[in-house]
Amino acid sequence: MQSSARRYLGEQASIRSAHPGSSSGRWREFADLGWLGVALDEGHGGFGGATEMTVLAQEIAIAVAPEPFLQAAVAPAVFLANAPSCPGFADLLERLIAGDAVVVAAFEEPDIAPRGSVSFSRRANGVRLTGELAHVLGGAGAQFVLFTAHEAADPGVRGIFLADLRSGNVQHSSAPTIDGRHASFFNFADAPAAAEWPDSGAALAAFGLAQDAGLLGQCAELLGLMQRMFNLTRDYLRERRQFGHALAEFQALRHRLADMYAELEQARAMLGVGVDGMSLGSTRARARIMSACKLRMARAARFIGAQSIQLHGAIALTQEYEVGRLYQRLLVLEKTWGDAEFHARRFTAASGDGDE
Amino acid sequence: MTIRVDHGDLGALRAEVREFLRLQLPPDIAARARTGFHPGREDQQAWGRLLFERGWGAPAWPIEFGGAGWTARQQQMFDEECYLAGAPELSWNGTRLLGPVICKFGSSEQQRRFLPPTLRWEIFWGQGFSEPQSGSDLASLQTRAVSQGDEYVVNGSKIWMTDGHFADWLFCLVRTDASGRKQQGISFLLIDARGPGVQIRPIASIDRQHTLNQVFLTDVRVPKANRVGEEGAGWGYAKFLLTNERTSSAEVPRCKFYLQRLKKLAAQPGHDAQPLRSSSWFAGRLANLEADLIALEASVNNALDSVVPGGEVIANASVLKLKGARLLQEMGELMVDAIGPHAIYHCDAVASPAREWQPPAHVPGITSDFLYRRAATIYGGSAEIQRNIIAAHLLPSNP
Repeated sequence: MQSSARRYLGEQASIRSAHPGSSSGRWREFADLGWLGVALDEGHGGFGGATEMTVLAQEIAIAVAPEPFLQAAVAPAVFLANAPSCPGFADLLERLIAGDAVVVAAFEEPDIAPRGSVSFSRRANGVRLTGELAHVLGGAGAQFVLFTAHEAADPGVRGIFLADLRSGNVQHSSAPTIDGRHASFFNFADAPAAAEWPDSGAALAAFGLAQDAGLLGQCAELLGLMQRMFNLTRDYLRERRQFGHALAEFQALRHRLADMYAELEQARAMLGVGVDGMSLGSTRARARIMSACKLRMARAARFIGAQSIQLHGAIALTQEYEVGRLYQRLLVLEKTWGDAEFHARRFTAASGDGDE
Repeated sequence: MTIRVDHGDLGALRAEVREFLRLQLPPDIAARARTGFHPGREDQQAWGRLLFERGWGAPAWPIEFGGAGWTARQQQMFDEECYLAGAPELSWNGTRLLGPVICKFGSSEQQRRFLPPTLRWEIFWGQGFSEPQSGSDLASLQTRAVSQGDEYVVNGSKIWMTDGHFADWLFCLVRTDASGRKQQGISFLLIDARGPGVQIRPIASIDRQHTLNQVFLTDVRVPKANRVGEEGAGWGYAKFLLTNERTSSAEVPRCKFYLQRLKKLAAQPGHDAQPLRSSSWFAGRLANLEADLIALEASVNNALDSVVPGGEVIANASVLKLKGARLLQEMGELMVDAIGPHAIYHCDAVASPAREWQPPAHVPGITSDFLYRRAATIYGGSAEIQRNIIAAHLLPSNP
């Protein structure tokens, strides 16, 4: 899968629409390749699992593919596969994997400032939503958004909801991100929900699993970016000459590359920890591992990214040269679905009082 | 033995500068400059002209050339006050880099022709030094200037030219002699950017702005009267230019601007809805950065106040550049971390009403500047070059 993915993703990326809903995009091709369900094992209608998902996510990162693979394939598929069935949406997972329904998952850090969170109220005429989902990558072209909301009257109570973005009940604005893509803001003004998952306890557990799968996918993308930046840097050191020597001959630069390699290998090992962590039975243990992954890999990525630019010199400051574009992507990955600071806190909280 | 240099009444001048800024800095220009986006020609020219009218178009120039004869310390104070007031950073090319070269080495005709319009901020300059194959090894440059009677015919390419797209004139290092040591065959030419054979190609940078350019010179005819100083002496003039302001490469004024911005960000709510300043991760980093800046500023002031023996001055300048560039980057990193998910956005330099979503007012410019400042440890002599210079001062060269 890895080599065919690499070949396919490298072709024509710049002339295809990134929006899953677009007919000129590659989303249906992703579906035909089985990629939309790659995070799920066969029992859930997928073709893989955590390992296969991370292999594909690395290739997607290396290609800087613009499609919202994590937001519209990995996270919602993992949720739907593990959540109780929802009336009226029993076939949503099947449709998602086939590329017929585009569902984007919006994750919010539970303890963020009031802006960016949604509350729900139960009325005679159904559930009504108020608030805003912010910084949702991959929202353009989505039909549904999947998210948690807290009860307005009792914020400790949470539920999982689906909103129909084509119903006219949701205000959707979009803003360009530094990596050439877009993030969405979904505003609900007493809007009806398209669906609420029954048995909120089981649904919330499934949502937590989906969040961790999404984090694992981000970590895999970070590794892909790091590997590509490292390769480009090593090649550059061999080719570029100044003062009559290849840069690769200067000891200070050799040492720097060695440091980058050491971080890369640590990051690779960490991703393996994350893959194993997905099958941990305890929600808390799994959350602890995923946050540790993001924390450690974000740090490695920042170092490898910054040194890749430094060793290339000015050329890496250009939009045209690949390293800069990888660096932009790295920044977006780090700052979405919890930054390093957030995951340090999540890791600490999940670690408890020093127990394993 | 150190000699203290008298800077006059710095406090009185500082008060004068502040008052001028308070009264004369246009609020719209300041609003744009505070974002950290690179100012375009319009803002630079408008502000430069106001400074010129005050007699501060190029205040460090000798008085005989229209400057105020300021010392480096006075210039630094001025830069600081300007940054803190929200004044746009003006291009260094004409007034801070080329100007002193023409004042010291230029012919009287060059001084008469080029200094006044530069001082008045009527003409803008592009610096043509780096080439695609000559970055750190600048002396290996290949742009060729062949002598033909009263002219040179110039062919080659210069790259990473900041503000080249609105330059009226270029000052370029060219090779007039390829036969001897590479440094000995370099000359310093002034080239009309709007003349035939000069093609300027924009370079999009990762901060999503356009400040950098590549320049292609094809059979460009340059009168020998536009050569500064002697043929083959260009490398010496370049070294003078690059080391003229030894302490300014520490970028202390910009660091102070960043610190001011960080302190404003400290009031913004963090993850817990409390001001960031009450988060220990933020407060701890900010305290360290401020302490770093205090040390950096002290070392800059020591350098400005004293005269120290030869080799130490050079190594000291490299220490300041090395530390200052890294401090800028660390401050930028804290700013990015302070705005969390808002760091992912590509914000306009000027807020466009057509945009569906507007970022919070404190956000625009932070990510863009953070991405650009990856170059702080590359431009003006990379961190690796600075370490070489410092090491050469400390230890004998490797055999």
